[in-house]
Amino acid sequence: MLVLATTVGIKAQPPDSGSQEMRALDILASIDVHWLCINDITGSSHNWVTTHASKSPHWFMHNIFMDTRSAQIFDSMHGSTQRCIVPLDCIENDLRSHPSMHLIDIHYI
Amino acid sequence: MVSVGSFPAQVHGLCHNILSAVLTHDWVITQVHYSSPLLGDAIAANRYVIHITHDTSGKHSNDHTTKESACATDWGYGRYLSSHESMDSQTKLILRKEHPMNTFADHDPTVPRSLVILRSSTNPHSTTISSADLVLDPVFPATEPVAAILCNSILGRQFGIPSPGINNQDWCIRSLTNSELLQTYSIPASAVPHSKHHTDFSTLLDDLLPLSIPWKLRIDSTNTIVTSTGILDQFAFSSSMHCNTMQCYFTKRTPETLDWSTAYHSDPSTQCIMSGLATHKANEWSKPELKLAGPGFILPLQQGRVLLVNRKC
Repeated sequence: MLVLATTVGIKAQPPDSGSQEMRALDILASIDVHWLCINDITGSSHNWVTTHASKSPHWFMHNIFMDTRSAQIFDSMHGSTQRCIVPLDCIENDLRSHPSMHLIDIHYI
Repeated sequence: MVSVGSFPAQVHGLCHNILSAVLTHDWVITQVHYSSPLLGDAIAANRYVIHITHDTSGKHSNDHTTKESACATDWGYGRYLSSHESMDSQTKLILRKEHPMNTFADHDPTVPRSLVILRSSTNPHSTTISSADLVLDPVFPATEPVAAILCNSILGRQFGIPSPGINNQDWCIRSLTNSELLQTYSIPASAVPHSKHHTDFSTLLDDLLPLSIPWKLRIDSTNTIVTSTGILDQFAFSSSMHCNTMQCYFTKRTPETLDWSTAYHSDPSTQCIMSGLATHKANEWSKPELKLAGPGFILPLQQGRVLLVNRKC
């Protein structure tokens, strides 16, 4: 379990005052990890998330491909609904449209 | 992720240099070379993984290249071969059966071993031998499909597989099926699409698989990145939308240090166990000691599974 401990300024007293300090614990409820994966031909990262990743974080895979041909093996194994096609010249705008993306995984493009 | 065989040798180094030039010093660039047979894949696919992380600690780590390895027990692609695949009548009686095969000798088990070279009629004057010109020993790893320009007129863009002939005197050869090829990249048979035996799909695999990542290599490299960079810890301790937290309040001062010694000595069971571990072997417990330690500790103590480490048990 990951615990984030922070002090908060709720009637905080100096240690020698004899009164009790009030402290707060931010106990982790969940982590959301958004992972943008570009041109993962066979969906190897998708496989890692579904079968090997720790279940504690919530992994959200965003698979994009530069063209439909690069996505064909992925489609046949995982389905075309799991990915989208973004041409190379649009990739920058697409990246900007995902401000909360935590991991960007670029395969050979 | 950079495919070693599909690039000039220096490309991964160029990527590294460019990233070093454009990123500020608080970004850490790490480049790792992975050899897939060492990680359990049956394909000889080497990959460079360059990962870039934001260094929140303020320490400026040095760039480095390391070679990861893990233990695998079976390196051969033969484990994925289907015994039901028939031989092409045009591609048999290539090897005499007395040809040595399935013997390791002094060959590195993580490197493909060729049994025979087939001259390619598509490029008869070429001095270059591609892996499509080779028949490979199934005990050793497979090789990736080659570029179309390097194909062999018999085997196409993939190497040849030896298989016993009908009269058990000679060896026949054939190419990998699509399913077998995908399995050498550690893609399980259950995930391999079935009705995909047509030529177009074979061409697609030959084109794209050298640009893919073998699955066991991906698992190992991702686990390494997640554990070595501590990215999940950074998410948990960040102040953004990465994590949801519940706040719990308490009004008692938390101890700044933990007094383990006093805590141990004030507990009868722990005191007894620590005294015993200090005076005799970890599995030589007397009945009074076990009785004092309590029922929850008897079996671990008798088996010697409780030890003192740094004066703690």
